[in-house]
Amino acid sequence: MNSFANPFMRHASTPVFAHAAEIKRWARQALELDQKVIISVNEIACPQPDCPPQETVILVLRAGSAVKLSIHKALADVVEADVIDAAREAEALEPASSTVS
Amino acid sequence: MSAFDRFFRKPAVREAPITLPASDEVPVTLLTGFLGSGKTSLLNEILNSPGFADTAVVVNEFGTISIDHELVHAGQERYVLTSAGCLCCTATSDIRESLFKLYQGRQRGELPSFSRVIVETTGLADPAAIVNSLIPGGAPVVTQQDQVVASQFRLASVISTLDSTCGDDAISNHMEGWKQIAFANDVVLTKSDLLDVNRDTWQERLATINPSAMLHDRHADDFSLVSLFPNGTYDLTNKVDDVIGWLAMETVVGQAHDHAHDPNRHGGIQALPLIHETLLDPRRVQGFLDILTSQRHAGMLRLKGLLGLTDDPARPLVVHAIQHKLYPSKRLAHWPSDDKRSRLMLIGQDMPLGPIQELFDGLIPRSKKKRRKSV
Repeated sequence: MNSFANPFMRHASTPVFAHAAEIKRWARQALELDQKVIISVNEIACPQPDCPPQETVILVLRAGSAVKLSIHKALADVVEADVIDAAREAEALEPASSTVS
Repeated sequence: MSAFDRFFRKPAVREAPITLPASDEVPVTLLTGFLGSGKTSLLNEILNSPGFADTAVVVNEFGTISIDHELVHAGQERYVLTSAGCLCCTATSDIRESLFKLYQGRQRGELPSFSRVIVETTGLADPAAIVNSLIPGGAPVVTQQDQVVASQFRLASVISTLDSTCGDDAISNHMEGWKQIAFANDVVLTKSDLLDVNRDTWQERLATINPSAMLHDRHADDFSLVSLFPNGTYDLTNKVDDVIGWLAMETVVGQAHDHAHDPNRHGGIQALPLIHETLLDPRRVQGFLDILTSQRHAGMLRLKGLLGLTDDPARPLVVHAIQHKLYPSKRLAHWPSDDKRSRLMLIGQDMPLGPIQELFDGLIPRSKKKRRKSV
């Protein structure tokens, strides 16, 4: 394996896909979901002037429905507490899974 | 039925049907890959191959000035359509509009016939948005333009280039880099002529994020362009859950972007377009490139440009750098179009824009500085 290490990297720690897997694990625990439920993690650009430039979105997919968790941080900066807070907020807003429209 | 079907397939919304001439769907291949990973080089190799003469090309670029399309050697018999902008944000409408223009041009006899389309994405493109706009059950088919595209074109495959010298960084540190690999049917290792590449080790690495991808080494003896273009339709069956989730996210979350936002900015990444309308001093240009690529904190991810120099105005200089590696410059035999301005596009994170702009302003010979123009 090429082990080229870019000295200018801003996030030299966990690879983005590994951190996304960690976020999924935190979300699964916080929402008490089994392994069959698909959880997707994405980072999107947020153009709103008052927001950080990146937002992390966690989508929990069940058959015919989805619940979205938003964290206004870049994916690399998300910690477990952020996911727990977002899960609580989503559960408060959506006690049952929301139907995809 | 795929996981994507189970979750999100919805009936398409259509306007009143229009009559379309019977035709086979034209296969569309998405050529993606992170900034500087060798997409345009691979595209040129494809277009220079006689077996791909009937290929139409769509080139998208990040930022407000276009350079890449000037560097695609398509020849007169092919059609290169370019749209500059933030493809990640406008992918659905842009790609459908581009394909519709190709369809219209062919129908009107304005374009030669073509049997395949290659879409070269920006290095920052999110393939989820583009794939979602081209697969059945993806982005809603709303307009007649959408209907034409859905019936006349099909997404056949996704190819991603992967720079064997610094692909680890693209995959590990950039969401777009990860997604570009995860969506691919075929991953093409590039620049493998620059160092010893262990294909098995890369295969092992890709198994984590895309176990079903075919890995090709562009510089291996067994590399075959034909193998990158199989008959068939892009299939999600063997894709990892992340891919299913990202496509679902496109449907559920939608384009959570304000399309009126600055097309030179994408999250924390910014493009800095620089233009001079006068010829540049070659020594100053070299100094500018050396300074820019030697600064550890410049935050530059990609530099590419087409520059007119005082020592040989008729033969523009192509320059490009990836992160902090400046590649040898190359003189073209002539300007590829009537646009003879010097154009440079820098893409990076937290770049010191002011100092870079000032350095660029200083590239013209002293006597011509009053005529400078930058954007």
